[in-house]
Amino acid sequence: MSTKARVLIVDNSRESRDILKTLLRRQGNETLEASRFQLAGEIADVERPDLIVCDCDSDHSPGNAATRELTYQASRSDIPIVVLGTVRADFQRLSAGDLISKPYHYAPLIRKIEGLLGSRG
Amino acid sequence: MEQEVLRSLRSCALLCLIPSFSTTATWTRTTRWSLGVGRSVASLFVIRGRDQGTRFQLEEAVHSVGRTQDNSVRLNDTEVSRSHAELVRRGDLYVLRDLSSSNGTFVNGQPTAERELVSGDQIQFGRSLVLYTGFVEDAYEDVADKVDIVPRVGYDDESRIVASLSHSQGSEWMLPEAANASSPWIARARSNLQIMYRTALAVSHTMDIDQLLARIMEMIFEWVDADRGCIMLKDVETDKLVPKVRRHRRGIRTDEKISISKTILDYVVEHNEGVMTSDARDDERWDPAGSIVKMGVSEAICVPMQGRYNVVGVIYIDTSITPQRMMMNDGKADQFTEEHLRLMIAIAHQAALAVEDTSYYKAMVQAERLAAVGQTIASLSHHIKNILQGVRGGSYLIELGLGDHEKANVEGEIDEEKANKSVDMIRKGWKIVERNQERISSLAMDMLTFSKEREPEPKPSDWNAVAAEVVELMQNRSEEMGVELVWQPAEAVPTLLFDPEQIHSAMLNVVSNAIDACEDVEQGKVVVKAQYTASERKVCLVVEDNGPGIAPDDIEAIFNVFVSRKGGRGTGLGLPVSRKIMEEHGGRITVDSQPGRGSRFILELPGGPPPAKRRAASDVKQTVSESSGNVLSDSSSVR
Repeated sequence: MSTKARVLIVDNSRESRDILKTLLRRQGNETLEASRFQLAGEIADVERPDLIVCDCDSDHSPGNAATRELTYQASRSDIPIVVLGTVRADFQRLSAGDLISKPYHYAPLIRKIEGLLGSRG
Repeated sequence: MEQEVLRSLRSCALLCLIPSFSTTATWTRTTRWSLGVGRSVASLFVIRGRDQGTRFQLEEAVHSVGRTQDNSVRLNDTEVSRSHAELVRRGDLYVLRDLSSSNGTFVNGQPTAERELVSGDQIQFGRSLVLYTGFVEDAYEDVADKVDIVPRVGYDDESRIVASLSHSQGSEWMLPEAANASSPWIARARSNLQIMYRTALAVSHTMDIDQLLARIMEMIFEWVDADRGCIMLKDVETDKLVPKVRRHRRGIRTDEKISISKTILDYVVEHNEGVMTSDARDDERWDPAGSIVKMGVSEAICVPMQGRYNVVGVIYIDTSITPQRMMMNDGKADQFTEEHLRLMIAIAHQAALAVEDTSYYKAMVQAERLAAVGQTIASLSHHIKNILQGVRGGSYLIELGLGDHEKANVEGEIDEEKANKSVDMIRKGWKIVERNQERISSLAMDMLTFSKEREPEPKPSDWNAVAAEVVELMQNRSEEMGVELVWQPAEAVPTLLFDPEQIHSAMLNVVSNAIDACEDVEQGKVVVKAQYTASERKVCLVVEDNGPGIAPDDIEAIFNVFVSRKGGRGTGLGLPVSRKIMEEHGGRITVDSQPGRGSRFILELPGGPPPAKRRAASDVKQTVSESSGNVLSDSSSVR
């Protein structure tokens, strides 16, 4: 990992964002945070992060529509996205995101994020 | 409180509440009916209208019918006049008299000014339709153990089957016999039709099976000259016939056992055919010297209760014809006819359908309950998973911090900056672990509060002090989250009688929700105000936040179990628990919210003592200054 990467964290729980933020910053990354999906879309548009991590349990839209929308947006802009949590079975087929189901361990999650960031550009 | 709604799980009160169906009202009302032994009272049963399912017992000499409270038969119907009609008792019947009501009174569809009522009459008051049931003279009992099924060998084997009729043939009584279409036949057919109609009515309006079977037995006795009768139902597990209702004609000794031949019962159930039996022996017994003249003849009808799928039981009636009666009948002993048998089969079929319905209803309730249990478990595991996620995150931070700290030391000298950073991380991780541990403990406590029927243990307590404790407890968390927490105690609150621990939990849930609601709000602010209204003798705790508020559609749902909008943090138990506690104290919790502006929760505790705990108030050796209630004395005089 040569350059500093910017990661957008989408989660409505401050605690979860804090944990991820601390871990990513420890690796030398910059972080952006959004508590709501709508906000995340706007931030992604303006800030063009290198990666998005989103917690789909924070998405209360019917059928995880907001998560889906965000993953489409990410794939259009060529931003890798990691989706955390439980999503409907057909989600993986439809989305470009990587899915990590809960409860997950943080070490593999960070490795996954590092891997995606390492292969960028 | 973030108030998105996961899903309304209205019916599941953590495994212990029965799901509410639309029929519940009728169900609970019918259970109030008395299954009378002896003479049953006359009644009005509301079939249609807002009071549907309500039964008014008629016991007084005069009953007034109307929509105002002073009427003994009060109908919630705007079409009913204040003083609409009256029922005046005349001997063993009631006379209905319209009191010049605006919309009139109709009996069986006919406008009526005054009329003697008979059982089965349908009376229309405004939009409400009620069914009148008159006094029933004969005694019936629900004592089941007075019926014996005698084995094949025994004196009752003298009974033999004289006619049998299959279930399908049973309904043929309704077919007109063209040649015989004279008035006696029509009269009989009409009376038969009426009993079928009334059976159907009883079936459709009675949820309680014992009640229904008693009613059916009663109707059978009104219609046929039987001496004794009983209804037996098949036990679901053992498949054995168990007597449910037993009835005698008046004047018959009631302690006498009814003996029913097992041969006959087996035949009825196995062949699914109704039978008519007579114990009159073959012709030689008609010899005047024979026993028949001395003993009389006993006849019986036994029919299967055939439902949609199975035979669920049998109905049995019998009669003994005394020699005297036989003489009067020109020696004819035929008390029961084939027509009786046909009609009995039809009645038994109706009753069987009702029995089946009830058992399916019960099965459905059970299934709903299991579904609720499943949903409860799913919901709980979701919350536990979220807590686990927090614990994992926190402990991973600690683990990394410990590693970093070691590294900072290993290189001979301590790298101050690295060491400090690692300690910060450990501290952060520890806080998260701690918070989640608190979360799991409060989840466990909430589950406990919610699941058990614990009555509050009131003692003289200080409303202000309990609330202040809650605010103090939440101070740290609100600071961490950048939410301003303001506490305004009430003035001159008297010492009250309540369970301080429970009220503490109730308050804590609401205050902590309010702080959570402000998480994403700039300059989040929660105001906690205690209030005492001396005139109404009640205390309140008002908790206001400037969070996102609750959508009007969601307001109702926030008190439902497992409805949480707090994502990982909410258990969906907080508010339901608070409400349960307040209600157990005779108080309540209300909410008023404007989306985008914030919410205001009010916990109210009345001055009156909590229900069923009056005794506790007298246990306190302190003079109750006012009439009674939670208020012990003015704060000025205490402490």
